[in-house]
Amino acid sequence: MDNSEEIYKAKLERLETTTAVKEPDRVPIAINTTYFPAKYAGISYHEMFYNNKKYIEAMAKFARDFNWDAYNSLRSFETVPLGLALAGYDPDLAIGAAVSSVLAGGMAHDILHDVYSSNPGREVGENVESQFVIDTPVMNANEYDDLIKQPFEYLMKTVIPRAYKNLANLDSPTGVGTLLKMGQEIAKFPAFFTEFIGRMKQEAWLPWYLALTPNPLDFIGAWLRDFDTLTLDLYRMPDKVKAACKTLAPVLAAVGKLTGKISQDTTGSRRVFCPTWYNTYLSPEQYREFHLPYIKIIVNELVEAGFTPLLCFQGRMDHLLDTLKEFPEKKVILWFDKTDLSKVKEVVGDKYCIAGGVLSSLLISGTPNLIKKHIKETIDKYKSNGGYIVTTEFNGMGDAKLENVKAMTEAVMEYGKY
Amino acid sequence: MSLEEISKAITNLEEEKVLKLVKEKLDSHEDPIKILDACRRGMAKIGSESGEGGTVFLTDLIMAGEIFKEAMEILMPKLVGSTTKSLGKVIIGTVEGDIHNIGKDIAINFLKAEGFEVIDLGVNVPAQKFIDAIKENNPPVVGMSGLLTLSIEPMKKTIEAISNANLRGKVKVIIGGERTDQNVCDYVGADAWVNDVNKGVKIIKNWMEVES
Repeated sequence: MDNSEEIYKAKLERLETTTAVKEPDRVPIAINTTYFPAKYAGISYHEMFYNNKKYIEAMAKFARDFNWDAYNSLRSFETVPLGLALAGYDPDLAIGAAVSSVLAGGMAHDILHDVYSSNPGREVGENVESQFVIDTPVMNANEYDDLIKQPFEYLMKTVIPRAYKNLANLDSPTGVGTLLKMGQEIAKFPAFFTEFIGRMKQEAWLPWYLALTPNPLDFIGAWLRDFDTLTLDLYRMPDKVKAACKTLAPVLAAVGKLTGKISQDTTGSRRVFCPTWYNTYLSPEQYREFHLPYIKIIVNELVEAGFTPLLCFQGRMDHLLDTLKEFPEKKVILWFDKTDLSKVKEVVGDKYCIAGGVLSSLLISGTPNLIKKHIKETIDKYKSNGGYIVTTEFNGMGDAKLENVKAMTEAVMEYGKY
Repeated sequence: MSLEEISKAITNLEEEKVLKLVKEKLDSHEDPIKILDACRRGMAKIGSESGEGGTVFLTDLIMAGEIFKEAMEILMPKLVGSTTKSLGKVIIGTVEGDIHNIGKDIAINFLKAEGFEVIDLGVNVPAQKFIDAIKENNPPVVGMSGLLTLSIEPMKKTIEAISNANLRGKVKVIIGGERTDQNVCDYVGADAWVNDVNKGVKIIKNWMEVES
């Protein structure tokens, strides 16, 4: 892309200005989508996960042709516990292990045989989206005290052998061989990452996010227990759940800062993706007791260190809107999918940058005219004097129609100007 | 101690109390069907307080479902041979490509508690499996669940396949999940959409002409 550096700088500034709830030149469009760029580039979802050359080219083609202000196509998350277990031993190695599934594709899944991911062309069809659902809990209800007292040791000795089938016996050829294979792959990662960033910069690409950290409750639910068993724990052993969250919060804040630094150094983006999942399911009292306090620890630490938490409230926040103002003003991005954005705006006013407004279901079932009309109305409603980013929900637009995605992009360029 | 205490303890999510009361009632030779009905009333009450603007949330529904399941485990051996009237059959499954069970399982627990016979097809269910289950069980209602956006196209394909098998006229289709809305319902060709169990149970009861 010609003038890629200039375009990149304009995107960076547009997003920074919008985040600070000041008026940029245009409403930015920033989206997370792994599967739509694969379809657009004519490669299978399996190739998107397992062929890193095709992955980079698919992303580069998409970045060039659509030229969104920010976008990313991250893949999976199955190595997060392995990275965390190593955090007390060697932070750099820990980050290498943790991001090896996020950025380097399906290789870690194949080597480790984890209980988390179902990948395209493996457990699900070649063109079916990867899903992250824990098979069976890798932490038992009676093990909270171990997690609370010695988190790293507990993760390494108890969780890792259960979470990764090929690490079940570390004194076996499979166990040692698996670690060696992971080491070989992690060693290749810096070269891949340099190639990836270099190629994407040619297309004036800015990531919506490259850095990330989960919050304690969602980490326990997604990686240690499972959705249902953690839900029951909230009623059966609430104090233990809270104590575990308290133990994990500073560790996960450190993960956010470490990955945030990599993102800032390589792409200029200070955003750190902080997804929240349980919010949809919890009562307001439970959210205030089990979820929010620990999210706030992470958010405040990230803000203090100069990063921008990108709080992705998945599902619904309609029953929790009054809590939004507890985050630092003009320092975070509040990203919603099904939550009623007009009610969010009523609560947060011009003190917070909000992102959302386009449901993937509309991009799948709508028409270009309908999309343009919707984008115009949404922008008119929320752009005010800055602080609004057009986006869809997290990684939801795999089945969107090409003409609808084009219409959305054109509409933002046309109606988004200040 | 009245049977209503069991209903109330379920509504209040008092797990230990419910199980203790169920055991005590059985020990005092209470009719197990009456105990079952008391559990069902508790589930119906908590279910009716969920949904938009409600005071009961999804975590509460999951806990209630767990308590009901545990109570059933105690009651089932005593219910063998008893006949409880089924309100009708419902087939339910998470459509092909989606492996999430959260919404589906909440729906199943509450439909069972209401007295429906529920046939659970599991997750990642291909269209053909829905068709085979419809042919085998002849249910008036088919439920399709999906947590992720990727479930929209498979819902559409499954409903088309049911039509192609000349079965669409025999069943009402209800879709459920976080990504469903009226647009999606129209797009996939379903009869109704829901993302709360309270509404879902009401719609199905209405279709089957069961009094709420």
